[in-house]
Amino acid sequence: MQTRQILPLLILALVMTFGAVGSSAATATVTIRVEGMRCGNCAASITKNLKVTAGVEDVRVSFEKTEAWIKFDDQKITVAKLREVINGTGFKAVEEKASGD
Amino acid sequence: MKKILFIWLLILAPITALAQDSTTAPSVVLKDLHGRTVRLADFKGKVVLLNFWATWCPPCRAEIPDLVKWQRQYQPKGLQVIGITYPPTNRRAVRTFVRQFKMNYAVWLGSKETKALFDPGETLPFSVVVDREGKVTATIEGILLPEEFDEKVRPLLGQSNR
Repeated sequence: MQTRQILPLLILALVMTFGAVGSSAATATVTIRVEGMRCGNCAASITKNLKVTAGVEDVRVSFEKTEAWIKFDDQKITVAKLREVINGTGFKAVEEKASGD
Repeated sequence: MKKILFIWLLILAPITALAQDSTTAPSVVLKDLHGRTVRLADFKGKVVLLNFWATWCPPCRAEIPDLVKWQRQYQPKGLQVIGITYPPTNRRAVRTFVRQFKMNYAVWLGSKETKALFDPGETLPFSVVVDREGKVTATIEGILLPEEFDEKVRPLLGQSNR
């Protein structure tokens, strides 16, 4: 009787644990070097366009370092697509230092 | 009764005036690429999309094809895109640029002060939506996205000029 009561709770706990691991595994970060950022104020478009892209969770663009740091869901979007978005703003995404979280 | 009405008018009149002033587009008088004097006020009755841009600004260049497309597509419905240059500006470079990018809309030569009439910052591109009554209904920082055009400009084009 007691085992019957505990079993569904155990299954639920297992599902929640693996679910949480699965979702965190989908999150990745990448730092992409961007060419052409001569004006800090026009770099705002990179942030804006990345933020409205599905799968992008956070964006920080540094005019000083000429790079964009992006936190994204790698199950929804690829680094290649992120580069495309940056290129679409008129700048040039040249290389990246990928790092999974 | 008349006294009460008068007091109400005294209270309401400045509030109404203030509300109107806060959205009425400021007076913009500039020169176009041919050296002619141009005024924003002359476009009353049209939906105006002012776009502050510069030849040296990569995102400004990136959004031009969309602006060209919208001008072509929505001009019959009363849209007028006006590109206002942001310094440093070289008139000859702008002319070359207009030809190269086949810009089918008006281009005026602006200054930092012109942009400051609408926005204190220096972000480019920067767009301002002015309705048929000459009121500023929206300002957009960065590249004007198609979703933003659909949300902030297209509904105004559905309204006829009264």
